[in-house]
Amino acid sequence: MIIPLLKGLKLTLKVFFSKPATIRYPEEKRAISPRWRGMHYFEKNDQGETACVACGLCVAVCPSHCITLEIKEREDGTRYPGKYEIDSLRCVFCGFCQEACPVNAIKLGGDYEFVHYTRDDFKLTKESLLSAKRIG
Amino acid sequence: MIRLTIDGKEVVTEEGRTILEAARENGIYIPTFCFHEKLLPIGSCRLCLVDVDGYDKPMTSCTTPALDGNNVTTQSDHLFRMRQQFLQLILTSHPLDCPQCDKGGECQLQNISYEHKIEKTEYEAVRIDHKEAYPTPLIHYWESRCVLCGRCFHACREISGREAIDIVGNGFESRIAAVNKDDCISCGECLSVCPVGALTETLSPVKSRIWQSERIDTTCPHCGFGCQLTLNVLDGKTITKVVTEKNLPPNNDSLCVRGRFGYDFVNAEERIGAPYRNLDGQKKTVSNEDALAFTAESLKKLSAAGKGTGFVVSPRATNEEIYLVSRIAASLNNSRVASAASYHTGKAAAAFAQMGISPLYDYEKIQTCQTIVVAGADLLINNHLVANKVREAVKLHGARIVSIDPLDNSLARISSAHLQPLPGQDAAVFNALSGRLLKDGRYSKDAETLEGFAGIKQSLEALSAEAPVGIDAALFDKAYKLIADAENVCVIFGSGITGNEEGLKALLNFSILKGLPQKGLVMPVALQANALGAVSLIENMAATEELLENADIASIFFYEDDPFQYLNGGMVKTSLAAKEFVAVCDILPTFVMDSAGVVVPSAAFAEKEGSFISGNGSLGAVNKACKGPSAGFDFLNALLGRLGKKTYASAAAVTEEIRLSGLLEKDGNGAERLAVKAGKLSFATGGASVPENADAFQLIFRDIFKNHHLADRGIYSKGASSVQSDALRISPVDARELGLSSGDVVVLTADAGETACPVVVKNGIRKGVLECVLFSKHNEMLSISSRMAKTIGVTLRKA
Ligand code: SF4
Ligand code: SF4
Ligand code: SF4
Ligand code: FES
Repeated sequence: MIIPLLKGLKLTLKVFFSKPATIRYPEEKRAISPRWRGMHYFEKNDQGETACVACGLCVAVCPSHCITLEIKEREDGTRYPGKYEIDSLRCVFCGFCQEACPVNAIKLGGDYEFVHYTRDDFKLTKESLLSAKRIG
Repeated sequence: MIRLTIDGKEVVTEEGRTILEAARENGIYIPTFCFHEKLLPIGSCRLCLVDVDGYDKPMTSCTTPALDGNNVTTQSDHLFRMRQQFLQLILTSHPLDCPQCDKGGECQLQNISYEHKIEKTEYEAVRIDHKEAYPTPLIHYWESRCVLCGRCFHACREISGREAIDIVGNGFESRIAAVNKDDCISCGECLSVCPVGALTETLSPVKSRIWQSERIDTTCPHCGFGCQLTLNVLDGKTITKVVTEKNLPPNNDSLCVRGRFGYDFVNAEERIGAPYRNLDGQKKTVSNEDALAFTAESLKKLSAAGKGTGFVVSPRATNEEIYLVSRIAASLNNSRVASAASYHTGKAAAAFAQMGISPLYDYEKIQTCQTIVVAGADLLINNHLVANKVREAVKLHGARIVSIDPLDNSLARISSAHLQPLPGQDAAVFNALSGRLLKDGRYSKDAETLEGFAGIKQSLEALSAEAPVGIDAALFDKAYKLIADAENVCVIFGSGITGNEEGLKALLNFSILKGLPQKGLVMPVALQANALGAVSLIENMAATEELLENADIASIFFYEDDPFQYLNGGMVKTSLAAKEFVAVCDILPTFVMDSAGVVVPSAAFAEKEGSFISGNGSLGAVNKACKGPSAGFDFLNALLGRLGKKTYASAAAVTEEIRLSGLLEKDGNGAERLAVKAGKLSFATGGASVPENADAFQLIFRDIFKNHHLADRGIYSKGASSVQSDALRISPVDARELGLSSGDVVVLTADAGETACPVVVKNGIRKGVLECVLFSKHNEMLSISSRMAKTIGVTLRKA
């Protein structure tokens, strides 16, 4: 009867002195794969503006229809997103937008922490995408 | 009929068809790129190559006529490789900027490259961009994207009859450029045929690509030709462009500048958002409910007191809205409904009804006419597409044009005879033409049996059959000869004719004498989108000024109409001040809103559901492209309810009731149109007074009803304002006599006042006549005359 108890104690002691499987989140963060698909961000061009040329391919490819884009044209005919919005609550993080983007402007970064108080805060806008964290 | 074999299939086709046409008729596919159904074959891309037995080199099927016994091969490895090579050459200097190109996703070059398995470009060449301005600011030319197919300048010539652009330069320098900037009418025909994104519209600040957009078909809200167009809408609210891709009659994918670029007022910032009341000179925003209650109470109270109510409804409102307005009017005592449709369309329709001429006609009949008479109308301004049809008749069927207009008009340059009577002298011209037809016995013999023939014969015989005073006798003889010799004649008349009752009668008598409408066509220009609808739906229609001047009418409700656009503003203001209650329902700020007790917002055409009746009687659907309520319709419907009448579940329910009332019928093809009982043809009696010309000049307003909602109180359409402006034009002879040159400021004086404006000297205008083109200065120009007229007498002096 005492044998099982001792077996249990042995396991307890073994685990007690070995490296823990859990980490102390959020103080500690887990390393992620370089191919991790987390929150989106915008790459910038030389002027520090978004590199997006507003082609709309991400809109076309997005399987959950969560990207809204309003295309604007500059005087010289180049284009930029007047409005760009990703509803991250509908996003399935498939990364198709990143694949479709011909200028590598929209990317999925390593950031997986998104908690907000209201649903509206989950809308990623042009501004928030520009200031978003790139790697987790 | 000839027989040939295409890909082993025996096909039969008419002589004169090309191999491509023969193949298409029989469902055989040949790739094409520069070929466009609406244009004559261009033959620049060479993708339509086919092998024909007996010829050692492949031929371009779009330009090669099919011959009896031809044996044609359309698909083979060899042909496929040749096509690939031609595509490689086309792609040599085409940039791969598809992600930034408007055409991406619906580009013929993308499609055909994909079809021919082109994965990379093999050749590379210098790309030059001269950055030259296109003739119209509404279109941007992307030189590097242009593949020089030639469609655009062919369309400019063949469809629009202009010569604004052409290919210039050689080799890598070749490009499309403006060769005659002033010839461009911004019709956008070039834009609509460009197979790639080398021409894009510049109007909408927001762009949307095909997969982001919804495309909704609707009817053009501007003139009454009834063009079918498609609105490209982003997120159910912003119209980002107008496209034409369905090849529907009557316009078959062509549009004029207003149809293609006159949509931006829908998204104008100035749109009236909420109802308001004018209280002590202050605008006070009120709720919908308050506005409705106030309007209903005011109307009820005045009606109960036995006072009259007037309604002025826009001829650009839908049938459904006009019907509701007439229901509301019917529920009140002593009410009258007026509309600006009464000025031209109303008069033409009344004369047609009186003389038994059917107002329904088929535009395609123009193609069967040998002589086309265009009187008192500039088809560039309204019904531009009729001008295209006339040009087609001239180009393809050898028709000749007779213009009768004191002013220059867009068809004058290809007219065989341009007679220039003074305003009011049209009756004399038509009577002289009729008189001569009678004298020579060259009228339609059917006319003899018609009522009034003896009377008309007698009165015409009493008049001269020679050219009226001031008209070149040789030209008159030429015009007469063209008319007399023609089997079928088409008569197109504008507000220059309806402005004068005698002229209208003389024109219609002349038409009947020549055997129209059986042997040809007689048609009024249709000014506003639903003018015929308004005329058909409103019984006993009044002219707007009748209601304004009538002291028994104590309240007036303006539905999408602004009388300041077409009447003397001072007069309108004074008459409105005397009214006890004025309400306005419209989409954008207008002048009449200053005099209104309550203003409620309405919906623009893209937000409405309903229908228009276009000039030839056909019913055009107005479809909802932008989300949101149909504010005007809903207000009228609720008002009906407040007045204790039946309300309707939707616009469709109103259409159904209009249908039940017997106003509509189905034509042979199942399309709906106005139902008209055929009357008995008869002649009208009418004298022909000689116009007195006391004033030094006759000023003709060219297009009073043209720009509603584009430029009312402010300019609400950037598209329209970039290519239009107000103008006063004078003939070179008068200018010389008065020592004027273009740009000089002159003072115009008429019975009610004077105004100063710059003048432009223009060829083609008759001496003694001024042409006034109104865009946004309606108020200034109309205030000098006390009466509403197409033509007013003025004196002119240099400022
Ligand atoms: S602008 Fe368009 S239509 Fe004109 S030549 Fe170039 S590619 Fe052809
Ligand atoms: S807009 Fe019309 S007139 Fe102007 S260049 Fe194009 S086709 Fe010609
Ligand atoms: S011709 Fe008339 S109906 Fe056609 S696009 Fe122009 S304004 Fe609209
Ligand atoms: S389609 Fe025949 S040559 Fe272009």
